[in-house]
Amino acid sequence: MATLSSSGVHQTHLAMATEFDIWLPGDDLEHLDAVATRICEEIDRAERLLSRFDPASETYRINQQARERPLALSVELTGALRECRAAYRWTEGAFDVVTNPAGDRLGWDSIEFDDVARTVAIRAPSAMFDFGAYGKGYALDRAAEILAQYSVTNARLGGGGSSWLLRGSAARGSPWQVKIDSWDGAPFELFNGALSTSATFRGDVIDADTRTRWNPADARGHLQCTVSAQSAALAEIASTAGLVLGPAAVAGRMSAWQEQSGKRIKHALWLWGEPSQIHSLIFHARSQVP
Amino acid sequence: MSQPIKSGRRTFLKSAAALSAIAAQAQLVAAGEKEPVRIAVVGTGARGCDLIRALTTIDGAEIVGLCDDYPPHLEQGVKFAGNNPRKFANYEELLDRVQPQAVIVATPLYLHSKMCLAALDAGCAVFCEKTMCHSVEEARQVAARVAEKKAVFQVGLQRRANAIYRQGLAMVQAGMLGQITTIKAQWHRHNSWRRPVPVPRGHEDYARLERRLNWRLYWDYSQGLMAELASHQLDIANWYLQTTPRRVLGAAGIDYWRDGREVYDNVFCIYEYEVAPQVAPTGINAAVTGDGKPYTARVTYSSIQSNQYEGASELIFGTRGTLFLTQKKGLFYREAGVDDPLWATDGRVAKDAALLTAGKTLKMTNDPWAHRGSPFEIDAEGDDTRDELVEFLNCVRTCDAQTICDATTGLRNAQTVLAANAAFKSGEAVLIDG
Ligand SMILES: NC(=O)c1ccc[n+]([C@@H]2O[C@H](COP(=O)([O-])OP(=O)(O)OC[C@H]3O[C@@H](n4cnc5c(N)ncnc54)[C@H](O)[C@@H]3O)[C@@H](O)[C@H]2O)c1
Repeated sequence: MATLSSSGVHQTHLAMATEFDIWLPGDDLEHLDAVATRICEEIDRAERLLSRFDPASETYRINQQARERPLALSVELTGALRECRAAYRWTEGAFDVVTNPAGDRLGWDSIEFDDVARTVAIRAPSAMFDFGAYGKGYALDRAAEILAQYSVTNARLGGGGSSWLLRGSAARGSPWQVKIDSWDGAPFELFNGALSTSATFRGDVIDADTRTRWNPADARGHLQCTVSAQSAALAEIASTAGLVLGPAAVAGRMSAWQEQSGKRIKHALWLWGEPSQIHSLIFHARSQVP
Repeated sequence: MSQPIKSGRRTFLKSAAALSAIAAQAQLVAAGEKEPVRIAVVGTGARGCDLIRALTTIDGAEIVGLCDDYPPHLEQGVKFAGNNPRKFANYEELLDRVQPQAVIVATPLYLHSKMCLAALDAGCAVFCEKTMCHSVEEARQVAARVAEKKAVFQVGLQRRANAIYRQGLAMVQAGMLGQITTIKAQWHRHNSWRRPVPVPRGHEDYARLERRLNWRLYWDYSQGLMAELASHQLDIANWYLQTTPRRVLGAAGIDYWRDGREVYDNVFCIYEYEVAPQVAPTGINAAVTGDGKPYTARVTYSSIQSNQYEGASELIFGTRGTLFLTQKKGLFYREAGVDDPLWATDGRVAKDAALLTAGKTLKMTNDPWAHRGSPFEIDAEGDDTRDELVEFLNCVRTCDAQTICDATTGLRNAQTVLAANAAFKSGEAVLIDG
């Protein structure tokens, strides 16, 4: 349900095992309230498309039945799979939605995906699709379409604290202030864009962690990659891949990523280390593009 | 069903429920090898697009035409259909030019009857979204035309295709609940039920668009919460009790969202059903029904829009147990203190002996729900919207007029929900024509 205040409409919504947070500043409360409800419906719809846990979702059905024979896909799931397969390629496998129940990333070799005929078959017994945080980004991007459709220019939409989509301004034309938790860098300002953080914590035993391919000198403690991009799904893809690959590898690939993503990745920030000493490296994509 | 119960698994019904979902899927595979069914969708708003998306995942369903007289929605429909179907603003033109085999009607309620009649007259099978019609008179007319044409006709009450509700019905029919005396259903939400309008207030099109997009809030187009929400849940009551109610009492008002809407935002009603005694099952479920005489069962229904604590669910209260039903989960609680029926005791009823054990001490508890015990869980896979379309298309292919929710069922459902609105408006009990 929404809270209506004199300065806007605030609503929280549980979906995708995440608390979505919708803040629409403005005066026309009846309109903003209706838009916030519409956004909640859209988030639920994205969950019914992409959740691997909801027995009524299309992804669940694909995971259950596409091993037996190729299945017809909706236009929308075809689009999501197309984006994820492309991202798998341009991140050189660092972003991968093909997994097994243990969470290992398996790659697309066992997937027969025909995005023109809109069919998919899963050819490995344990393989399945797990859209993970991409689902949150996808939902926020659909929500952004609703904002545009109903001329809502100012909005802050959050997915569980690690994903934000910002539009317009916070109040009286001033930009949104973004503060990155666990980083002592100054808050920065943003009018339009999406942000995503992927993070992991390495305890004393780090040898079992095969998910990241970079090993900063003091590899224990916190590892985090935050990306700002034009779309929320892209921010999720890039932060996931950035966490896996690390700043050095991404620096070398940033031009290629820019190319592949249509120059929509803006900044990337890595943080790592123990809480007492966090290292950081920030990367402004634009300046790297010739 | 006795087998899984004996094994003591709490999810004992999962496999049985999954079986019906798999059965629907298997039928579809067989049908998918044949010519595709040529389908047109009239009304490509929120629900129309749900149905279009589901159709695109069904083998053997071909969307050949879409109709909506509001261009942004028509474009949405085209986007989700993905195969560039022919587009129309006028449904009669669509019927004439495309000559589809089946038509899906997903327009506002007040348009259902004329669109269904036109599609039936054009020789089409029809899937009509719930509620069947805006008035009982219209629903009767549509049902008569369906009978005359021997047409395939299905109303979009998708719980009829849901494995959990089917499992619940099987349990009722097997006598596991005993005699159903009461059903309590509600759909409680916390939102205004308003759709946003894409132009600012004060724009010359604002008033027109507001009424069009928020048709649910005005009596000319809508029958309010009873038609939009209660229809689903009262269909479960009619289905499980195998009859329609005799009369309804109720009260309703616009209590919280006083924003210019006409339909109520708070409805409460009580239906009375004259229920024929259930034929006592034989075998392990024997001796679970009442005294064999007709009896009155009561169904309470409420829908509010200012608190979502109770959500949407139905509780089926029987003398031997309680079923809690939602689209995603079912729970069955055996009634405490009632003799175990034979199915629960593995066929052994040992009242003629005293078994001496070391005894056991029960934990004291102040849990107010302790008397319920722990439930058996009912789970299922599948999307009931997709499944209802699979079943409809199978009937279209085989020219089988016995759809899972046919015109008679739709008419009875419409009578049930519309009588409550009459009761709210008159403040008197309303009799329902059987
Ligand atoms: N089974 C379910 O769970 C479920 C869920 C939602 C809605 N519904 C039902 O679906 C129907 C539509 O509801 P909705 O939420 O999609 O409403 P909606 O307003 O989103 O869509 C209705 C569409 O019909 C179009 N329309 C109106 N007049 C028309 C005309 N003369 N010709 C062609 N198109 C016309 C509108 O432009 C709109 O796009 C209702 O009967 C509703 O009860 C069923």
